[in-house]
Amino acid sequence: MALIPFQTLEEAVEIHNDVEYGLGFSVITEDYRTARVLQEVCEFGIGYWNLPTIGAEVHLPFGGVKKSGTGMPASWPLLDVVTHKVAWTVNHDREIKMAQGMSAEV
Amino acid sequence: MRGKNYIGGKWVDAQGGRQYESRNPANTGEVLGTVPLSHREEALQAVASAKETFPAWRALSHIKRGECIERFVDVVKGETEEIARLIAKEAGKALNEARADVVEGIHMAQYMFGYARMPHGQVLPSEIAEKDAYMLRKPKGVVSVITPWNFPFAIPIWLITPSLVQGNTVVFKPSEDSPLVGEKLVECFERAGLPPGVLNLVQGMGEETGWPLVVHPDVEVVLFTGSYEVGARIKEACAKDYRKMCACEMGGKNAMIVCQDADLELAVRAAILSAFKTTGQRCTSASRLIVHESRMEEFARAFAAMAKRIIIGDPLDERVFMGPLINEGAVKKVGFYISSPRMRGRRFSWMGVAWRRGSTEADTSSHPLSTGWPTAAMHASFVKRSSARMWP
Repeated sequence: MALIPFQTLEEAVEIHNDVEYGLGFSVITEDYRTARVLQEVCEFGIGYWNLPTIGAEVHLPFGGVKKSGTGMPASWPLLDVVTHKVAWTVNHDREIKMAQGMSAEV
Repeated sequence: MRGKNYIGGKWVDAQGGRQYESRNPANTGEVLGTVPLSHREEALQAVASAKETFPAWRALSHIKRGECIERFVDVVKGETEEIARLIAKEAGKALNEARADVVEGIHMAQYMFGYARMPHGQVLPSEIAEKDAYMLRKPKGVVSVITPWNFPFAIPIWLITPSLVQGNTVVFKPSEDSPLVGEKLVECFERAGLPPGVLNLVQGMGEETGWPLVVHPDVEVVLFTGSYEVGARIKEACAKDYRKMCACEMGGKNAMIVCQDADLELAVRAAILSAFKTTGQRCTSASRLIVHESRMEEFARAFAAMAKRIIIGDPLDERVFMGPLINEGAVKKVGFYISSPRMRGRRFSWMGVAWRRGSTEADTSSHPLSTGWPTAAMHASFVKRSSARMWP
């Protein structure tokens, strides 16, 4: 376990993000603003405030950034990976009308 | 227990009866069962079975597919304790964590059963009043699911059940370190009445059995959880195939930031749970504690004091917090980093001593139980030079 000291919040962020992985993250603070800033600037996929870095639940996205993941976390986002999402557009008129104002005249 | 592959609804041996032993990492003399050491051929058969079954499975309604998952939940609920004990024995997870592993699997399966009745598309507007527009979902086909040992029950269910409910068929290769838990999961699906060929199981090693499941042209999706090294190869292989898609969950170098105003008791407990649950071998286990310098002294003392209370031992013992490292490779890795010159003389070693004093196994021999404590150190030495200023 590495115990790494910091002086300023900026320094803590720099240390936090200075690795190639970005999976779990936790911040222990009583201050809303501190937690809110870290939530924004720290690179992670699964973040916790006043909790351990472990403790996933199945309906929350589970994945990481950088070397930790592929941008398609498990749980419901996975449904997009195992299916093709297709557009299906139906004309119920007798004429063809095109979007973007494009002419259907020939 | 004599493990088998499950291909096309039949339990089969690897060709030539080739097999290996699954052992209890907390007592490496205890053989839990034999497992097929599959060849490439079995992987190909499993893909063929999944491909053949795909049209019939996707033809069922979402609800019918969901009901198979519901029956799976019923079977698992009836065997939670038995499965938990198998997880504790094969993966070395403390019994309480092993039970949570099963419960998490149940939750995911319940979630996907419920999802079967949820909308699986969208009605969208169109610029043209006479057009109706929709987003529809279609299943892709054969999905390969390759999973690690650290959540040997929950992670496969995280990946298998969304695939199945959407109408895909699956080939599942569990970690070679938790094959019997993988087999148990598939057996539960069989008892739940999942049609033959919808879920296939091949046991074996990554290179020989897993890799064919990645590069096979009939595999549309690869769902992988494991190391970055393997995941990077999978990403590359999938990028080269115009049909293939992958989702990989890989490692972490997870950190906790303890701020100047932190509640000490909460911070220390959170740090201990982050560092040492599953013997520090979870994907999200913390390996870095980034602590405000004004709190470092008291935090380090309290952390070491709580660490002393941790009981290391047989995961089946209810009092045990931390079980063994998973295998010989993990033991060697930890040993390597612990003995690295960068670790020597650091404040860390003081904590290491405190740790050993509190454990039930005081020696540092190669016995996996006794090497549980330094796991976190392994991660520590990965911290990049610029931020690796160990304290003090």
